[in-house]
Amino acid sequence: MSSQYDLEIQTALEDPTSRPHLVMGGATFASIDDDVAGVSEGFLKKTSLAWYAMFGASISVLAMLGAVVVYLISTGVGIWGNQSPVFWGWPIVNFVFWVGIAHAGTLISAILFLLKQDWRTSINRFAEAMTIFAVCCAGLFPAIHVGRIWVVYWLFPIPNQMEMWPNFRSPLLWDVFAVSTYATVSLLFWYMGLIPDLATFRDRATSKIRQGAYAFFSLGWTGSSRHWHRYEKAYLILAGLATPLVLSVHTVVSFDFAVSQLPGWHTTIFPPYFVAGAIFSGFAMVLTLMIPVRAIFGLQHIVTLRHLEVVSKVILATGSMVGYAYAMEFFVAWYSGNPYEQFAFTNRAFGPYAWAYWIMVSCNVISPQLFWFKKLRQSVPALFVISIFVNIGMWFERFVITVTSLSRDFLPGSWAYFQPTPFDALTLIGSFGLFFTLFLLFIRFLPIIAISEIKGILHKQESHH
Amino acid sequence: MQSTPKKHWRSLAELEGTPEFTAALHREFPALEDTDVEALDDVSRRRFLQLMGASMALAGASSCTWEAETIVPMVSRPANRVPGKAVTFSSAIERGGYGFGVTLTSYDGRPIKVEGNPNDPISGGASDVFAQNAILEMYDPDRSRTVRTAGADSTWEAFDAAWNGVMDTVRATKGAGLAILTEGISSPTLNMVVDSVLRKQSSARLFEYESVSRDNEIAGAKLAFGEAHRAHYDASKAEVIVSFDGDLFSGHPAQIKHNRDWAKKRRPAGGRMGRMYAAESRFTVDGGMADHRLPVRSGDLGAFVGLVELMLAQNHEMALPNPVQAADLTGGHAATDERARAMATAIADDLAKHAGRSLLVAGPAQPPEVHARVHLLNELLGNFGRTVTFTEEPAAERASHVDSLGDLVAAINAGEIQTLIILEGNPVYDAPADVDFAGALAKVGTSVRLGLYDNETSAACTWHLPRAHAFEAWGDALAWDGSHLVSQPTIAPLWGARSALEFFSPMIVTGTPPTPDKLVRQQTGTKGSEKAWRKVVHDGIAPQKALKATTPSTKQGAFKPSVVGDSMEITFSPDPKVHDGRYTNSSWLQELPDFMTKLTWDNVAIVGKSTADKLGLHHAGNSKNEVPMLDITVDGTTVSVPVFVQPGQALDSINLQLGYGRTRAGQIGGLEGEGERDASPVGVDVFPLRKGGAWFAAGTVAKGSGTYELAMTQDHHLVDDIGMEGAEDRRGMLVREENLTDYDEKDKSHFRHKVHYPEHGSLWTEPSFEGHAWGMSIDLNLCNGCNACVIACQSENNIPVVGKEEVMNAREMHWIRIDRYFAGDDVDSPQLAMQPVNCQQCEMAPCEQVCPVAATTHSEEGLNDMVYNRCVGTRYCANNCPFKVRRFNYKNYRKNPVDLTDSYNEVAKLGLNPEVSVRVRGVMEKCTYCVQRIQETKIEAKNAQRPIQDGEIVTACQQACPPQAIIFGDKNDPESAVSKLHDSARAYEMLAELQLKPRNNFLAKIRNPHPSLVPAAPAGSEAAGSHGDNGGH
Repeated sequence: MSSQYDLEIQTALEDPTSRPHLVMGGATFASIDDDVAGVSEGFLKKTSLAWYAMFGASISVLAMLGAVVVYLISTGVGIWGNQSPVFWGWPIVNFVFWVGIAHAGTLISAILFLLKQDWRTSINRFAEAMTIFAVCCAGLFPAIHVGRIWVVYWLFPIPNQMEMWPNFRSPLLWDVFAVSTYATVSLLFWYMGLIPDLATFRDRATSKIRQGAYAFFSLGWTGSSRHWHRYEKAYLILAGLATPLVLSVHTVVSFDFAVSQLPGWHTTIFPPYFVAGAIFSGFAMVLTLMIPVRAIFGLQHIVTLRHLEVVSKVILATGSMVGYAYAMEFFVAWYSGNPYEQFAFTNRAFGPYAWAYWIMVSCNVISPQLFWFKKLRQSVPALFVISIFVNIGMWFERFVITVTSLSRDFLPGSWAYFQPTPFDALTLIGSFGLFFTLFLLFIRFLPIIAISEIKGILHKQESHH
Repeated sequence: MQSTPKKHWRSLAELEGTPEFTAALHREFPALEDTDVEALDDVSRRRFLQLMGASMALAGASSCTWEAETIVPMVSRPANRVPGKAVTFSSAIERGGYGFGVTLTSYDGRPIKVEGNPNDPISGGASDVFAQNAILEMYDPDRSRTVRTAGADSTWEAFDAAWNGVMDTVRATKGAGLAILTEGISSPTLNMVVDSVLRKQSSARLFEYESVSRDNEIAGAKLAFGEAHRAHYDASKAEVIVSFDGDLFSGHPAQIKHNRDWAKKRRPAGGRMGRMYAAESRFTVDGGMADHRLPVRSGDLGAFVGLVELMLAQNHEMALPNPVQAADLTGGHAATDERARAMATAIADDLAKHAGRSLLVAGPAQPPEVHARVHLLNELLGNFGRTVTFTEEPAAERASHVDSLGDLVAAINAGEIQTLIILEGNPVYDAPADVDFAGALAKVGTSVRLGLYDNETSAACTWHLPRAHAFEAWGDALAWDGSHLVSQPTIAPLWGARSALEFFSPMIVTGTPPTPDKLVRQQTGTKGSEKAWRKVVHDGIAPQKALKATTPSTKQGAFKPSVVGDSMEITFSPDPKVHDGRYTNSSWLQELPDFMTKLTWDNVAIVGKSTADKLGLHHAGNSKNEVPMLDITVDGTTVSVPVFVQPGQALDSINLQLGYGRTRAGQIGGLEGEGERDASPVGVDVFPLRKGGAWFAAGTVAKGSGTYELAMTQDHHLVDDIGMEGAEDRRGMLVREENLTDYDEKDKSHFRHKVHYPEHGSLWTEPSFEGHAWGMSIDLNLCNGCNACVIACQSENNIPVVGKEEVMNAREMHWIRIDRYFAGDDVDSPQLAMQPVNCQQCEMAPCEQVCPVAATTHSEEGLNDMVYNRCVGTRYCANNCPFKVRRFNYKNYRKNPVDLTDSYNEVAKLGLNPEVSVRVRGVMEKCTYCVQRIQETKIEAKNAQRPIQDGEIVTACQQACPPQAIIFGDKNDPESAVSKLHDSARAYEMLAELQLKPRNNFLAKIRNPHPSLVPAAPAGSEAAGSHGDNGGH
């Protein structure tokens, strides 16, 4: 509960003879319950003004998004800057940006779970929640960016009187399946993990309503051995199911680009490059959110500096992969001998969008390289600032891929320069409103750290000593 | 027409106007809800039909004057009339005193599309943007609807009453104080009627004014021959054409014929092809077509003609009477310039070699002396009687337009004119700057203007009268070659307007005047035979030509060309879109990209690159097309115009286009003082700079203040160096071209892009096409960029206009566009290539593969079909289209820029083609190869149980194309024209390496430079020549 700074230093020490503790401050089962459930229950005792202020701001931005969407549907996609040849503009950039962010959660929960990375327990719930909300934001964009939103359901293979299937050759259709599957599995996985903790909340509840609600959602969890047995099995199966999805969803998103024949899009490197970029951006977003939350709710002993450092190492690794991919794209463009491809990349780096390209390179390639320095990996402000840079950089990466490639394709007669409108900006800002509204509700009502899993590693920690 | 209409009624209830009847009427005809039903009580049946026709487009309502007695509904269907089946009528339009034969496609009494009349020897079935636009003009909601006087609406009855009073006075004085001012009129019938008026009112005077006229040509002929003769050119007999600031291929009343004739010489065969030279100040279609083009100031062109003459005399011993003196040619840019001398030498060489098979032409902007000298050269070279023939000139006797208007103003100022009739025209707007027509008009007691639009001049008259559109009335016109074209009404006047014949004919007789059709019939000489008359009306042309052939010979005068000297030259040119301002209110034409600048919705000061550098004029340097302003001063008058830096513009010559900056054109072109329909003027009015109707004048320029944003459809935004380089690198691959000497007719795959390794394979089984396989061929050697196809397509396919704002956002909707590329290193004198791009109808269409809902799929005949109803609007197809021919409805363009759902504007909907869906917001659209025309012909052929003939299906773009550069047909028929062209040595597919198998093939451009002028490495040919060897990619 304390927030001593020395505590953070201690966990980050590298001592090869023993593993440092994942949870600090002599936590017990009871103290973990108090600390985590206290975040939610704290609201019952004393209304947090800060929460209300943030929630008020977020929901206002969300309301603004609602207004923009109503205007969009009544007026047409023309309110954005999309044109010819840049038929896809910010909405698709935002879509890929949010889908990318949505990667960290399931990666942490599923892949790290299978790899028995215990440090994940402190951040997995949080990251999974982030995933779900990011998928919500991502899902919004393809839906509203179509010209006739009222028939958008034609994208789904619903039996109909026209006896028309969607076109299974289209990567956009693959996208529909990939993203919706990912959203479903992520949600199930998250909810599964929540059940024991919801039961804890239920048991601690002081009001009837709260008790009833948590009782409903905890599905009668009693913590019996049989429950635990089934739970562990199901969790493992879901983790196994979710693992390929982490790789598949962004691979399929990258197909939207790679399968087309546009110079700058049409490259085989896209799937691994997109997945690496997605993990990169997802972990950066975890940092961006985690750092203020652990400070505000005093969770530094559970989400320790060591956790943050591990995340920063993942960012360094994936950031380097992304940097390699950028370099490789240039190499392949040159090596291919395809003049259109070559032009697309020269134009990307030195053409009218050079500013966007170099923002991307600075944020995504250069800034994470600072994590080679241990001092910066262990400096919370530095972690926070760099994570913000990575978020910005990853948005620009999608902008560079989508917009610069489209703006100058094959026939010079059709080239044009894309200029966003204020509505492009409002839609992007509005999606953050949606994200933070959901996120603040999550903090308010759900256990933000996986209590039961933390307890599991507490036990291990002791047995090691 | 002028008789009081009988009151018709259907029941006693209606007669009495009971509330029950009114309620029932509303129930029956909800469209009349907004109409003043009470007002219907005393309207004529004809007016009622108009309203019904306008609001409900009633099936079967053939409401033309020709058969005005048809009643709706038809109890028994008239013979040969199938509801919903298109009927074609012949008609004619007139511009600047020259007629043009057209046909009108009409559905259920509602004309919707204009084509050239194949019977008109000039049109031959092709047309131009102005002809195509005529249908939009007829349905223009801003066309004048009512008689107006003193700034308020009035009625024909009120006018007739007032006019009878005026005419009584006029008759009493035998027309003293009466003047008639007309626009250029060629109509024999109208001329006859006006002549009769003048004969009857012997003191009355006639004036004629056109701000853009061919008076220099007439004066030049008078100078050369002693009397006016009209020159007719036959480019099909010429091996060499030399155009001095000419408008042979665009702007000339016979340009379509010139294009068609020259096309015969521009299809290389047996190593032979025609060659063209052009010297001109601004880039015109002629210059774009030329193998060699010399940018030279309009004012220095006479010196260049002199230079050519000098070279003929020096190098080829051509004896000229009164030869030009070398000393007389100095002073301007032309004679001293090395390029000019080289080109004059080459021209002289070619002219000497091709005596009798060459053609020299001077443009309307050139002074009479130059025309006279060009006549002389043509005669000496033996071209008379071969490439140049003559007829009499109908306008031989009249004063020049500028003089005529000057005389009128002088007469008014002298108090000689009390009554002025103005037929069309807009002199308040377009009179020479030194002729104060507006001031004079205010002094006239009664001024009456009969015009299509209530324009600037109408507003200054005591009466404005709505004139019937050419398609609403009987009329006739003389084409440039003297063909007597006859037009019939195809719809009743939408707004109760009168034609010029209807207006003037009561003045020639006492009592009931003869009907216009009788008058026209009389002129065609078919009075005796109803059958002959019907044939004339059917064909749209009378059998006899009205102009007799003549064989003039030149007088031998001395020639001392004038030159501009060191000052800056300001040239004025009719705009290729809005002409002199008469088409300013056409949204199609306003949004049409200029053939050269690709500019829409504005006029500009066109400045050459070197001149711009000298003046320090550059783009503002941001990503928008923000350009500086230029203050242009001529004789003390200054106008500020946005700058457009144009490669190929002559040094020290700045071009201004007429016809913009109108304040009383309409909702599109600019309207002031009309409340909610007000629109700011499009572009800048440069008429205040044009003194004495001059085509060019010395002026001074200075950089003005502020910047201005332009809307272009190509280079939407400033292109940086990387972009320029990239575009230049691939230009040779996209637009293949070669010099004639390098061209090998036998190498069938020379221009085709070969991919040697790896072999291209398909991911899936490729479709095969058993029945028809539609294909198109576009000849880059013939396309001159005239834009006729663009407007024809817009008219045929209901393509919306998006407005300047949306063009700036790069959202224009044209289904066919013309990409314009420059070639060569000399930015002041580049070469040009035009490439029309419509949907290439790929067999392996990349758009189809990515559409998630299968809204775009392949037909059995290989068409890439677009199913609007299925389209969700993901726009993925457009991203994946390498030709970027797909257009997306980002907004509801029926409400933007002008709201067509507004009841005032709704009439414009009548011009839509019922065979083509009107697309809603949020769907993708693109060229369909005019699938509606394909289907119609297929059905016809099937019903007649016969195969479809080659050439039977004609797409809208193909039909309009003057040089016939576009050919459409069945690729599966080896004998079809398109199959043969696809098999030609010049054929190639654009971006063939993408394995798209487009059904469109282009025919490579072949240039035919004079050997002495061939640059070391001809631009473009290198890329085209080497692509086959580099192994592809």
